[in-house]
Amino acid sequence: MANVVITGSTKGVGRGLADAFAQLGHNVVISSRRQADIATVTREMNKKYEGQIIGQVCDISDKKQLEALWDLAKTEFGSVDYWINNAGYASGQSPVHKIPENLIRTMIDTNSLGTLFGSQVAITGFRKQGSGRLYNLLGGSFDGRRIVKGMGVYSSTKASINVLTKYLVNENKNTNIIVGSISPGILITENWLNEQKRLSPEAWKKIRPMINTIADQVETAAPWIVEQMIANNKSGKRIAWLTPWKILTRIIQAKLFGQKRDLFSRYGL
Amino acid sequence: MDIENKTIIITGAARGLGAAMAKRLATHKCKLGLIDLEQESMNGTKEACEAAGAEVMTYAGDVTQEEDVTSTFRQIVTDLGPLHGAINNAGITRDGLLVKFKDGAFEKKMPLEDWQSVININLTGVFLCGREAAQLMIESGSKGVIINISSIARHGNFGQTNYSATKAGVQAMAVVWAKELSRYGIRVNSIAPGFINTEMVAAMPDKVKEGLAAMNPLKRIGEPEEVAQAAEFIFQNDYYSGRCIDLDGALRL
Repeated sequence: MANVVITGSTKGVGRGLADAFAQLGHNVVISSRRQADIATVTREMNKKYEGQIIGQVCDISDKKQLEALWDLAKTEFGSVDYWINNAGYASGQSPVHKIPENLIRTMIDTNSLGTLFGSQVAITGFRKQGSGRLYNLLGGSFDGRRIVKGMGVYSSTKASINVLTKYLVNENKNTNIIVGSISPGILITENWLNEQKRLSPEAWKKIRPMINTIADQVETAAPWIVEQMIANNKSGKRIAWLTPWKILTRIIQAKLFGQKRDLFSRYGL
Repeated sequence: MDIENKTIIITGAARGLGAAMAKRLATHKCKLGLIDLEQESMNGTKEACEAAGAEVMTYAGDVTQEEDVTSTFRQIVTDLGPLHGAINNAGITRDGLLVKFKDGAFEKKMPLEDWQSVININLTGVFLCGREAAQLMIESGSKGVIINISSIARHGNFGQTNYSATKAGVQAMAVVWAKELSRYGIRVNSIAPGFINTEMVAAMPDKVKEGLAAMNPLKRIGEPEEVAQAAEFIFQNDYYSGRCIDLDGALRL
């Protein structure tokens, strides 16, 4: 069984990936900034799954804390097979020139620096143990092809992660280290739901049909993403849940065949 | 306190006194975390404050929900930096007589629902936001300022059993907090505006408004900007704590 470290894994996509790995019997290290959340999640998961679930507080903008997370996994499990830089922070409501300085720093510290430090720690460790698999999370518009209102700084941090990942692939090509990225698409997480609940009824009404067509539950996407990670032996792969092809198929199913899908009534949206 | 570059939270910032205080403080180029029930309702305030040179983030939040208050306040300091100020301004009225008799016959009484909703927003909301603000300020070592918006109704106003009770309450809480939090360098005060030219008053019939102006010793109702100036004073004067600024043009109810 493999040993997996996931940052930002007490909720959202990270939690979904942790569950999917644990479901298959793997051991998982959970982390986030809040000890209380870690205690709750590890308790819940240990009750449900065969593998061992442990956790530790980790602020990924502090490299020492990431090193400590690696050491914990190494000490408890003996090796680290997967390291997933998942933790990130998104907040978008203003055009770039109006985004508060502190918020810019928070996003760059968490997303760009956090993933960079996490990658350093993982690659250094993998090189010592001879092998390992590193995955970095991309987000909407990491390639800048689609402009999402208010997400200028967030998307540019994700773009930096994309470029960073390409360098890591290149630098580790003659080793047993596999480096890849994950595009999770639009997944319904607690944070995402809260953001939508804050929209005005009119604004939500406008985007609901499209979102309803292309979004998914975390529980739907995460097991597939984990399967792909486990099956993948090629460095440089981007595992994308929501491909252009899938979007097209979904729209055709909804428009032409009238396929009914209702993701949001259950949340009162 | 020098207001420049400080993070200040204002509840009920979409309009009225909340919007006026935000705009006044924005001229000092501070960082404003604005809270109201609907995010888009704050767009006007946000734009005006940004134009004045402040950094502004808006947050939809319900001050009566503990979880909402905790997560929104935490998000604000993540987004804008350590908290230095909080103005507990969000409030509503549900006016009515305690008991109403007409020609000797009982007609109606103030519904418990009207009592409870005013208590929830005006009193519990201030408690929750003040408590969260105090904790965050102490955690970050900020010698911050908390302002509770009271009202002239704190002395007891006809037809405002619920509102008067909450406005006396938030003034009393400000005194308690000033005593408890002074050891951390945090100052707490309240402002008790009289009748001010906000939507709350604008909605009244012209006749009532004229009456309000006529019974005031200064023969006019107050302007939101004048209340905002009091808030600015409280921030700037480091020896002002545990007190209430009655901003009512000398009116006594």
